[in-house]
Amino acid sequence: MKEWIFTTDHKRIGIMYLVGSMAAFVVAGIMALLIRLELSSLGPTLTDNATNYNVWLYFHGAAMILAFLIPSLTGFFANYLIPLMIGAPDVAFPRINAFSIWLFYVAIVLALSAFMVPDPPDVMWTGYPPYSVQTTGNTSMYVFTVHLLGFSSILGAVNFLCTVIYMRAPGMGWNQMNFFVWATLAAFVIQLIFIPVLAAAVTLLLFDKYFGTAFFNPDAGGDVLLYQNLFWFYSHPAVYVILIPAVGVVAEVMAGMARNPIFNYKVAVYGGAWAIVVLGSDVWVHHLYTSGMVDWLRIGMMVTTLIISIPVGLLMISLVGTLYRGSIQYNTAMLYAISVLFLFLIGGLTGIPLAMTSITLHLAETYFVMAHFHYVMAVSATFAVFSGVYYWFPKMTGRMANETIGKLGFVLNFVGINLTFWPLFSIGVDGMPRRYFDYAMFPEFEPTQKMATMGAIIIALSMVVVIFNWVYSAIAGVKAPLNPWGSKSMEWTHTQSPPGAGNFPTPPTVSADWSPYNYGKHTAQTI
Amino acid sequence: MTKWYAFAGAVLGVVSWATVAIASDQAAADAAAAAPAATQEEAVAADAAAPAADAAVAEEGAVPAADAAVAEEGAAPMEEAAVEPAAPAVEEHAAPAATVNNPAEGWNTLWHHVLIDLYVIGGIFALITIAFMVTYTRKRDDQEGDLPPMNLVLSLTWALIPAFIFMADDFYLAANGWKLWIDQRNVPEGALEIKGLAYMYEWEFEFENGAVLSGNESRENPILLPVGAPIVIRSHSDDVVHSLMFPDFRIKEDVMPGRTTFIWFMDSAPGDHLFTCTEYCGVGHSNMWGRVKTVPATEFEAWIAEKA
Repeated sequence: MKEWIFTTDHKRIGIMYLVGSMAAFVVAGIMALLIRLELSSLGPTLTDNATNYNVWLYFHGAAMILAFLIPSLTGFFANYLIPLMIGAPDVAFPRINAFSIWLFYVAIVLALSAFMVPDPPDVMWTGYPPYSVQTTGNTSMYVFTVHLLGFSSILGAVNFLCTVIYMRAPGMGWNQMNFFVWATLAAFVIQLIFIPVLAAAVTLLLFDKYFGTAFFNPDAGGDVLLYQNLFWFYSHPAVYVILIPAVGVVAEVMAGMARNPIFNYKVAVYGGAWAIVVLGSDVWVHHLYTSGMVDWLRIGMMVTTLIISIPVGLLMISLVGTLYRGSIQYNTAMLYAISVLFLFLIGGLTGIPLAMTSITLHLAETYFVMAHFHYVMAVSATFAVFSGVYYWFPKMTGRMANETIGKLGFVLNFVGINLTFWPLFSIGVDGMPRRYFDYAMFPEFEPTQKMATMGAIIIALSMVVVIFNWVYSAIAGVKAPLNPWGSKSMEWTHTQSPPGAGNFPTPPTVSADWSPYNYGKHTAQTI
Repeated sequence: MTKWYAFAGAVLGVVSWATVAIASDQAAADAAAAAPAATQEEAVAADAAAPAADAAVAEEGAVPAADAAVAEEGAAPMEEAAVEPAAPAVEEHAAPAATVNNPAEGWNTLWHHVLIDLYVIGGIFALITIAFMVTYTRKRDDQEGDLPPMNLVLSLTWALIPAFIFMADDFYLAANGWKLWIDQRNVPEGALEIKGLAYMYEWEFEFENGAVLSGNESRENPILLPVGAPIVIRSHSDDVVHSLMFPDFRIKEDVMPGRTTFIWFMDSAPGDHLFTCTEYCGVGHSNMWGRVKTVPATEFEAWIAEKA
């Protein structure tokens, strides 16, 4: 136990990130189930008190985004894989790395203790004032959770930027890195630039609520829209902090299981991931299309938001192209990865009408938006996480995950999420608003809500299967061969599973024609 | 062979740019056509809603709460005028209303165009992916992929052609979205003015003749509105951020303290409609809704005069 808590080994820290973020995922998932059960019939179902429902909503949103998606994609995957993929013995600052996992765990404990105080936060994950200032709920818990997670992410970002810049194996050029490394690098640059903005916004919220300042209080010269702008100035790029590494994971899994290089690698890196970093900072007002911003800014951001479809489309082409003339094997990891192509297609395409101000005047704050971002984040990004865990499971544990149970879990999961979120698009277009405890004004939506609740129950079941499979296989799985997928990437070819201290028996060096994707006749020059 | 790709790229690029140019031209023409109307409406807004003088420039400039008193005064003459009923006002503008585009109808049309667009893009991507998934399965255990090697020309072709296609589609959508936006955000001249007020957890609507109607009560007795006439609701909030949404009219806008925001809409045929709050505002968020009923102008006039 002690050797895990005080470890500075990036692999152990990575696994601790996975365990912590999965714990947050389970609790936030239970909240989601409670929310769906509450909505399954008109009027109060599980609770009479809408405040309970609002606390579930708050915890579900805040924990899923801040404590599950971001830490699992940039915490777990980056920690475990980046040093192995670039041939480094550890990260640049192992102790800072240990400190950031401690911060993460303190944040998780603080977030969970929301259920033990008499006045839990009920401010949604966005925490818009004046409500978050006027509420009797404990907004400070929200603020401090964001502070801790933000601090942890900034330390991680500095650490991994230094690691990738200075600790690549001798001879490894920038274009010989795995696409996942590039994707994570892009995500960390976003974190480093924009987290301070969120930290400032929530700190001002803290001052307004507890110290009598009036940054967001119009009666004393403040402005309610200031917070919304600062919040989305970070939180829209945060979507790309989730999306880009998720695409990175899916690309690695697809390249590995199709034994093909990533199609148009350089365009995916520079025209995809990095273009998103640049453009993604200029689109935040699309979250404020109905917030009363000036009209010219809404039109301007409509254009920038639509243009984001170019780098995202290039990434999609690279993913689909990776299958072309490949040698595809459908195991659980690949099923999750390839389903992301379709789910992200749905999520991404439904984002196009939401980019258009005039369409969004109706769709904003409805179930359409909710279904859209659940397809992007809850479904695509989460499937990417599951895909990655299955793919690197033999690397982490030295054992193979059980394929039968894995595929059963996948099928249940896939059916469940589509049954839950697909019908919500239609009632969203008909006007069902988000964050509603009850929908007395829309009794005709009850059957659809029931269907979504059934889907949520199937998802819960599939999660039991998936998590059981991981625990069972880690203890009693079949011993894994050294390179079960026949991958050419360094974490499979240059070390054992799981890698020992210092990662590589002999420090790797690479030649100019080495590539993590040198399948068939390919070398670094032909990719 | 690489030359063939380069040529195809050039052709598709030219086609894409032509699409962009046509779409932008059309939008510019529409914008120009709408511009005089917009200027007039701003002028009217500046006269009528005196305190919103800055607002005419920036649509909803901040109206500090301290100026609320001034706002009341500014609106007073209008209320007096409304006593000698707004009937002529409504009828007078029933004629121009014929030339006013109903934003809700525009929304429905554009929504169908966008859906077609999404189905085409999604269909192409999905079919190609499925074809690859079925065709390129692993035949032997040691088989590796056989993706043709890339070179600079191929790489750029595969980046620029899709980029041009996506960009053409983006600009097509942006141009059409902007066109509808002009309808949505320019209140037609002589629209029926309503002042909205939101607080936890109730809506209040003040009509030109001083009648104040409650949102909660309107669930039983719907608020009547004239059919065929543009109606504008200019609202602010007394406490937290709310949002006024009319799902059937395809419109919403946040309602907050310290600023006045507006929505406008019109109904083409008599009917019953909902309005509800769509920005999370606390424990009563889902209990902040009401009903309106659109009726012929004369019926509305009689009804509102009675409520004054």
